[in-house]
Amino acid sequence: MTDAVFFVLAGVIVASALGMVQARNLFHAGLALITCFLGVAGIYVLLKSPFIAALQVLIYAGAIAVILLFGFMLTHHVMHTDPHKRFTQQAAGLGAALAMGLVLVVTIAVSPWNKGAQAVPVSDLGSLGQQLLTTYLLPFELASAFLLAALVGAIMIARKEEGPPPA
Amino acid sequence: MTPVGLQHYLILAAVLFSIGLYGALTRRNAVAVLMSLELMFNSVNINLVAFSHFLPDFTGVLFSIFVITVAAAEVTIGVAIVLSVYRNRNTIDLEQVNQLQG
Repeated sequence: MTDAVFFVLAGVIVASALGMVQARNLFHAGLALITCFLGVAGIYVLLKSPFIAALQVLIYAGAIAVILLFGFMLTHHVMHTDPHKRFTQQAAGLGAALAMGLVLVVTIAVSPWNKGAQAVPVSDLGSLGQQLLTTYLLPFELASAFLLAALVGAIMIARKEEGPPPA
Repeated sequence: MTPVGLQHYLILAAVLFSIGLYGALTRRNAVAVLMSLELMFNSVNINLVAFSHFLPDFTGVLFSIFVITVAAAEVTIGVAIVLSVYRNRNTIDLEQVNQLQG
């Protein structure tokens, strides 16, 4: 049963990802991207990490997809569709991606993974939070400062210059 | 047929990463390139959570939380830069944003 769900989700993810990179209309690409994010959230549920699945839906399918669609809508009258690159560039990109995928898949297929250890559910939320506030306290606090810096930086970069700054 | 294990998740992530790489290399619209980058972030997260589940060890899940944080910041800055380029150059075609090209 779980296996069937995995293959359905994998099919949805790969199909929507291919749809995203192929769609010339960027709004369609954004919708395919959201489908892909939701499929990945399903994968996290299969991996017994419901917290990460919730984060995936909230942050990726919610916030990040909305920001990307904002970016598209604010700029779409100069570039509503996405023209193709030159054929040589397309071929080079396809070749690089195929080579990368081939190397990764072959490496994964031939590597001796430890198949004996049966998975046990480990990611209960309590100990996750405990780890986050003890062992990983420093990166946790740095992440908040980092997000603040990114927020202020984004506003500074994107705001409209209106005349010279007051002396 | 073997039951779904770590390898299946890793192969799914590898395929997703390659699709994202293809998109990032071949799109001309800057927003589309950002979307492709998000696909690659997602595949890395699948890897981290899958390893975390099958080892089993917490660390992967914690790392994926930090990756999601960085991805959120990255996309915010990315869209801000795209808007700034759009305002100054009136285009977001990456073929035409080539002032730094030698």
